[in-house]
Amino acid sequence: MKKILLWLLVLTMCISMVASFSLVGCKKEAAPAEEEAVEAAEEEVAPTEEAAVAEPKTIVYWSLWNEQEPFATAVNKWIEDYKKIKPEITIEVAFVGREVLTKVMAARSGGQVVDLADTENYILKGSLIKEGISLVMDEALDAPDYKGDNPWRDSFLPGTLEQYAADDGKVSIIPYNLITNGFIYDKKLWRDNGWTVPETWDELIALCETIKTTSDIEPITQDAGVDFYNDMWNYQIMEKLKGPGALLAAVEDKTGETWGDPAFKEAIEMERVLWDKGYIVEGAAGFTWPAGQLLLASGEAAMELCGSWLPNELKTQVSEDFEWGTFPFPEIAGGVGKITDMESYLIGWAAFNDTKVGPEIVDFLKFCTTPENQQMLVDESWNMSTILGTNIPPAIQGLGEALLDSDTLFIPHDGIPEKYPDYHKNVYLKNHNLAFLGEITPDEYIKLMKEETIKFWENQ
Amino acid sequence: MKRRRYIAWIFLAPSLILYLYFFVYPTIEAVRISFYRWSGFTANMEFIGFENFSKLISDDSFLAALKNTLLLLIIGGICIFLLAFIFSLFLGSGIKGKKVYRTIIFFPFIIAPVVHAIYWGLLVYNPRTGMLNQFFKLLHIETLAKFTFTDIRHIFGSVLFVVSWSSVGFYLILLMAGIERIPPYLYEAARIEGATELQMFFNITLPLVKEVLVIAMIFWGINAIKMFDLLYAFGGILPPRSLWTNAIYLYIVGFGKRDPIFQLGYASAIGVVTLLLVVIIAFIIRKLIRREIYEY
Repeated sequence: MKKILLWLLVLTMCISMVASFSLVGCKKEAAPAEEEAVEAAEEEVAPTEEAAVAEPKTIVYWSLWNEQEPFATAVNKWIEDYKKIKPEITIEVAFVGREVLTKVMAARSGGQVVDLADTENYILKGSLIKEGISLVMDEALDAPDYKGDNPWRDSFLPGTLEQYAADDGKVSIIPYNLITNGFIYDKKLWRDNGWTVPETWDELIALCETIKTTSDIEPITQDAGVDFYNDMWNYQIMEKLKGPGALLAAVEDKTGETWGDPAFKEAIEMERVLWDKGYIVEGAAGFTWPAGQLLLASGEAAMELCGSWLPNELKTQVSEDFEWGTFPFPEIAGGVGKITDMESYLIGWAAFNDTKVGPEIVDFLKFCTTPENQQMLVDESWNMSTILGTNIPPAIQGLGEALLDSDTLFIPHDGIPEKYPDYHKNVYLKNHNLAFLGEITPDEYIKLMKEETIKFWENQ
Repeated sequence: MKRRRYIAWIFLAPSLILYLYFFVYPTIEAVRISFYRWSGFTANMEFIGFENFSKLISDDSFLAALKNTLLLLIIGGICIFLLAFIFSLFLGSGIKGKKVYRTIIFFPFIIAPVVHAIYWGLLVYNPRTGMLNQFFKLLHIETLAKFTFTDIRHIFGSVLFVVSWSSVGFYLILLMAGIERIPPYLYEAARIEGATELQMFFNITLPLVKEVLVIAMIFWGINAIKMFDLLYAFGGILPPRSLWTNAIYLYIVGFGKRDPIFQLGYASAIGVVTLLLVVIIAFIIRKLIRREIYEY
């Protein structure tokens, strides 16, 4: 009798385990069925009320921001305000961090619904747009904006919508955050030491020499443990020497010969001057992020080449008398690029084309991209918006003005990551980092780039 | 007898179901996916046969990651087990406060790997303000005071030290469990015969602790090959290439990390190769260390 009871107990455990796994898998599918049943019941009970009560809809939105970031504060405020206007629309937002698409991929593979995501536009282009699973927004963009005054398309800074359009020109990404790249410094420190903003490379080098020889402050700080931070020097120099597209052209040349252009070697040699003359803080090669940028905040370093997000990241680390200053990457003598050529780095939303709440997403995004809501984002995050009518945050006034006045915009890393992410990671960044840190000579860098470009294309 | 076997299967069923669902099924799926080109975003999977595996052979980044994995396994293993045996000798020598020392040695193991990465990366190894450089500065050892422990050439060794330091406690506990089972009269008899501590270690301790040693080494082999968290967290926003192992490279290739690579098929191929590596390592360890049954 005891044995029979024991067998029954074990069998029950097994059955309940198997049942619980299958029920978990059915949970999401059961919920809409239940909702439909409730809706059907409501229709039967009060058919006359159908016109007055809008159908409840849910938008599942996964964001690259972390909960404690100011961007998340702005998003939460938008959702809260939108709920007051459209109570039937529920927005389930999840702040999952920078690897949002990895998590979205895993969630959707498991059958979970995710309608909308935001992240860096080049990542969206290299994934959702490349796979053809993004919701095309052209029709919505040609329709009136949230206030109904003008086409939604006209709300955006010229060029920002088209920057990451698909190859056929269709726009799927709605950008809202505009980032650029340049030097960040403390105006007060510079004023106290009589340093002035350089406009050419030669002036920059001269300034670094002055800082090094007349003060205890390090001229340049660098989080040299991060390869794409180091690459900011390279693609900025190449843009100034050869203009936008030069790096990409070298990547796309299957013979590797374009890497033989003297400008590529010259760029590395210019970067090495910063190390060899001691302008980059000693020990930077061993910094674990954010050790480098903390030196800027503490006043131990005079400037850092970084994205315009930096003031927002460091705002709680600086002293009260720190005065944020920014200036663009200087011109290089003999180069085609001007000091007014600026990087345009975008963060935005893309929806999946299998979403059942497309119109609702469009309405929500139109709401979020009103100048008032975007100004709130600018004020919270100290970052610029792509929406016309918003201000430049005071902390990045210099770079913001340069960006808005710019004649030529270029995309980060010359557009290599979204077109050839594998090459970018395993050939370009790998070899550039070795050259930047002095592990290989400029000649060895060029040789490696030629050889590995050929090998990359042979393996495609 | 048949009835007993029946009952045994019934009791094994829950664990077996869990194991099949969470380990065996995903492994089979991973092997299947390794024969496809797949981004993971859509259901479209393109069958490409062994192309992913042939790409691995010429992939310099994978070969560098594999080299790091093997270095971590072999050199890390040597450091850990050498330290564990030295500590076990120390703790077994009859000193007072043995339990306190054992707790101190074990303590780093219970700290989360991410905390280790932040602590050592930002506070200890920082070239300007780090404790290590400041310590050498205090001792006026200028070469080491200016040494960059986390630059591209040295970071792997520095992290290997952290891995060894944080892991030795666990393997010490395992080995001590085996050592404490050895009857003391064997050591007494050996001392009477005039054996030194070293002779007793090689002729009594080591042979009698072989069984536990095999298990400990297989544990280490598996942990070393799949190690991810500490190495990934060490670089802050991005794991430096010098720290890439198979596990990290698999993640970067499969899920991007600022570059939208998203090659799940290729990542699965790396996973399959890593699995084979684990099987081979376990096989080699079992063959190299032949277990003999001692009765005492």
